[in-house]
Amino acid sequence: MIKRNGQHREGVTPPALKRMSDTEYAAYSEAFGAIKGDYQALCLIGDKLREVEMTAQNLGSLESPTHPGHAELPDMADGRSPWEMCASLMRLNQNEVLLCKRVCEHGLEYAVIDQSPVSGPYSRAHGPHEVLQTGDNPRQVLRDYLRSECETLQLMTNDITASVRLLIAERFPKQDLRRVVNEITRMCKKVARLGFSETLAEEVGAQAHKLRRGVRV
Amino acid sequence: MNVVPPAPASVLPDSERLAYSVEEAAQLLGVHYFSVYRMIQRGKLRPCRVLRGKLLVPRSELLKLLKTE
Repeated sequence: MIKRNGQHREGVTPPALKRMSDTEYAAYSEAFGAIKGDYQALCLIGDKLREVEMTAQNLGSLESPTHPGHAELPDMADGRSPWEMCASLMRLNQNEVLLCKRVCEHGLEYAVIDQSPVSGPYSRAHGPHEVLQTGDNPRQVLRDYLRSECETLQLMTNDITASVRLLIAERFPKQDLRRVVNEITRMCKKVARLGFSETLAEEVGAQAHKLRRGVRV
Repeated sequence: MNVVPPAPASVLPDSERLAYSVEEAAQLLGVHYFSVYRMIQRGKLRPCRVLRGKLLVPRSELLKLLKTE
């Protein structure tokens, strides 16, 4: 597609926004330019969480002994064995999310732990390790963790689209640019969607179907 | 050697600011900003919402979070 001034539009025109008016095009370019970094971060985090989903599906490799070369994580509670790292789930800059395990009275306990840089103010106040999820079934621990991260991704998506609405309202007042906001929202939701959430929806749908069948019988 | 954590107010430089964006809060806490969204989602940080639903983290919430228990 060629703009009226002769420049190509392909680089920024989303396929779902054909026949944009000049104002919509300007609003889209400006809004997407402003949230580009957030959008890329959303893509990155979505990709990493999809990898965690794959890890959850191939849990056999995590049942092996502790990964060599990794130190034990100091435990926060007294009188308990330290957490041993099973796998690194994802790394975001200096933060790393780990799947860990330890032996307790009733057998093995698993945890997803977020490790922050030791030198950061939050780490200095609370310690560098934050337990995000625990349980005795590693598959369930990962599923619960992913379910929670889905909600966090949704929160991040909502915040990004709020930035878009705010920017468009400030820069293009009194203009109806809902198509632009809706398109950017759709793009963000698409990259933030995990296969896990689809699986979950399928499970819920299957359960509902079984229930319906049960009622019919 | 025991490291004494700095007083919470000393890590928040601009005392006139009442609230920070999620990215700014992450920088001040020294964590990735996805971790800040996670703290909000899990109820550890209570944000305020400005126009159009944009999240801001009140300075008071950051100070509370940085207080060692």
